[in-house]
Amino acid sequence: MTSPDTQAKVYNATFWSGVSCVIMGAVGSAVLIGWILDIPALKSIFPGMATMKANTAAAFVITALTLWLVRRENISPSERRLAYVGTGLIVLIASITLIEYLTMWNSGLDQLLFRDDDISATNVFPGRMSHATAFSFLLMGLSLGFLTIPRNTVHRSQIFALAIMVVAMIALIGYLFDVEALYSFVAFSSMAVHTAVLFVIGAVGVLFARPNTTLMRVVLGSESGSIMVRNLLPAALLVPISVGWLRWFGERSGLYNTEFGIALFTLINIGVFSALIWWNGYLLNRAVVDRRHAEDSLRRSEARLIGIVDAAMDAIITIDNNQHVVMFNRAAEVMFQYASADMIGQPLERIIPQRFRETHHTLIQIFGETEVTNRRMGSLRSVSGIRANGDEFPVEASISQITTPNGKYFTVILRDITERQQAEDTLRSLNAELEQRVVERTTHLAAINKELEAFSYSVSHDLRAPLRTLNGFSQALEEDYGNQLDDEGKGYLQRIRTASRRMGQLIDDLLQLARLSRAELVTTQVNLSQLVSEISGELAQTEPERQVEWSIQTGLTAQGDKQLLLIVFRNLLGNAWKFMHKKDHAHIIFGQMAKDSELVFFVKDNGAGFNMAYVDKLFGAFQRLHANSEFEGSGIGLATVQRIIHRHGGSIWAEGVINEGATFYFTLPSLMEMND
Amino acid sequence: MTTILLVEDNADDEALTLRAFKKSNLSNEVVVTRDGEEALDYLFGHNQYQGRDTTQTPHLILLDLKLPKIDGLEVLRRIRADERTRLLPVVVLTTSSEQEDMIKSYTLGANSYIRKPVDFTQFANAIQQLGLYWLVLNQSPTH
Repeated sequence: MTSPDTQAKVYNATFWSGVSCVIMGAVGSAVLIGWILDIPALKSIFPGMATMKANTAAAFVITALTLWLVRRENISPSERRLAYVGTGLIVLIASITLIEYLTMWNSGLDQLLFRDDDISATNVFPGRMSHATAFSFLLMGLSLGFLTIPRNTVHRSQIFALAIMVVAMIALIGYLFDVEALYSFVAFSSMAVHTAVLFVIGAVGVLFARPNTTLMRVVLGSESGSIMVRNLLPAALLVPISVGWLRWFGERSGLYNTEFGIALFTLINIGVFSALIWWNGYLLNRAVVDRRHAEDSLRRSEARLIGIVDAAMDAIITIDNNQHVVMFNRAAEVMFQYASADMIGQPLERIIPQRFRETHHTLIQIFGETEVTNRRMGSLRSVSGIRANGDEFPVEASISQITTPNGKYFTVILRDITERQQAEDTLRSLNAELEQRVVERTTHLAAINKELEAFSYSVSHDLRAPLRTLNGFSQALEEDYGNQLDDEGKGYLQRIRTASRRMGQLIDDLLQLARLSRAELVTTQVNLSQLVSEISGELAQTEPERQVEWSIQTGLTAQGDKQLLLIVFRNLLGNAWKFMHKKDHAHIIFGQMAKDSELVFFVKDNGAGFNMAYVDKLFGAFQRLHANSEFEGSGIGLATVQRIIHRHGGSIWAEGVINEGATFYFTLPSLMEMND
Repeated sequence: MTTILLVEDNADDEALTLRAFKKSNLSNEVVVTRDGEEALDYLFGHNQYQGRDTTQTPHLILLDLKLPKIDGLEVLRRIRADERTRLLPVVVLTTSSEQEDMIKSYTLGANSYIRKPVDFTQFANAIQQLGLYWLVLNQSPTH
């Protein structure tokens, strides 16, 4: 395939070929008009010079048309047929004219189109084209013919074209230096000046019609040689002509004689050509240096690129349109255990496991047909490679494509993900194991919970029965045999009864505490003020005669388990109630306040209070800060309260002053925060 | 003469209950069965109670839940399953404070559920109130 550079020149060349057709056609038509309207200027340009005959003009028009048809390399059959007609006509005209000259036969061709009445020394055979013209037309016809026939005869065409140029140049130079002998081959037949010019143009047009021949490539190419040709050819034409004309003019005007003229001519030629050659050499050198620069920087960037590719950790493989490896970087060598030299030219499939090869091949083909620049391979299925020793391994791969003038190339970048997959597999199995363990542990815990429940159930039942006996029969004893007992004896029985009652309470409290940790929180919006009011009513009912003042802040709500919060308040308020037994003016306050930028609930009483030194013991189970004789209590109440508050995510603390009262503070954070 | 069937396995509790009844001055006969099986035998005239007139049903059944052999809830179920005893008042008298037991008892058709207090005085009061209500005030459907 030709490179884009020469492609352009091809276009240009055939364009100029077309231009030459236009010129030939135009001039020919103008001359024909000159003959029709009898305008001497068109017929011979310079007055008194030879005229272009009507046949010549017509022949040029036919040449123009024929060359137009065949100037491109792909000639359609219809075009070809017409071209044959054209060339045939040209050859016919030329041949008949030449035969006329040779055999003195007048065929009538000369006067066929127009009458030529101008009989003069230069025009012995009126209307007949000169020998040279006829001969040139014969060459032209043959040249065009060789272009038309569907065989590779271009070179013959070009040789004939060159021959035409030579003949025409002879005539032109003759006109230039007024050398009659040159433009009139025979005294009575001369080629007109515009005829000669048209022949040159026509020949050039024929040559330019096939720019891909060796001959034309040198002239039209972009290599330094072609540049040189294009620089020097004009000089080769113009310099001798101008220098020659100078000499001729000088001699003709008598400035110097022939010998001087020749010497001058030679000198100037030497000078000019030397200068030209030096100049060209200079240009070529510069071009070569420039090119070497370009080559160097290209080589350096290539080296850099190769360095990058080779140093990369991922395998980078480039394949051509047939999926044969073109580049196989070092990482690929290591990954697949092939030397890069072994893989170049090999099909990519060599590194793909057998069963995937066909699918893979097809997929790359399909990808090649899309416009997508790159994509990850194997998004739908796993991709694996196979090493030289037959080991298969999983890979992560991506593919990209570029289209160059030399064709499509694909680049595949691969990463061995064996380790990663192993890690993933390990992770997955560890996860499964963990899940399993969690399930086991949950079942285990659930079982333990159930055991605990059963345990506390039987505890509650079985422990209470003997208590009832203790209590019941000591009572019975007192009732039935009390008269036989003195006060001390009755006192003993009393103690027994009290102790059993206490134990019953203890069991209940313990059970409740245990149950608390297990139970699920049933969260609702609870109206705390209302709870406190209800409990205050309950307490008032137990001892209606007691005067207690209640200050309950209204509208206080919180999120929590209503049953558990009930226990909290029963305990706190019950405590407050209990510990104010000795006070006359009892006052219990429930409210909410801001403490350290938090909202805190509090229950305050003005009862017995407690010593702050023992505040740490306050919430411990069974810890009491008062003797039972002073205030009854099992000591579990506050432990229970604390457990409940903690389960709600809140905190509880207390302040007390002996004989002045105690305040219990607690927080109940929004449970929605807790669950985050 | 009103008859009370007391189903109770604990001998102490039995003695205390009987004592309480005595103190409440309710004239009645108390039949004591010590496990679920015996209770059902009595009610339906099986085994050692063979030949008893089963139309003579007790006016009140005091049923403990934790019984050997056949458990209290099962006894309740069978009482309610049989035409002869379906409508008899059954008061569950138990130490259990489990919500579940209470719900189950009511579901199976118990008329009342009372937790035995530890304190005897309270217990005696409860029995007295019980007796007054169920034997005197309440209209029994079968008698």
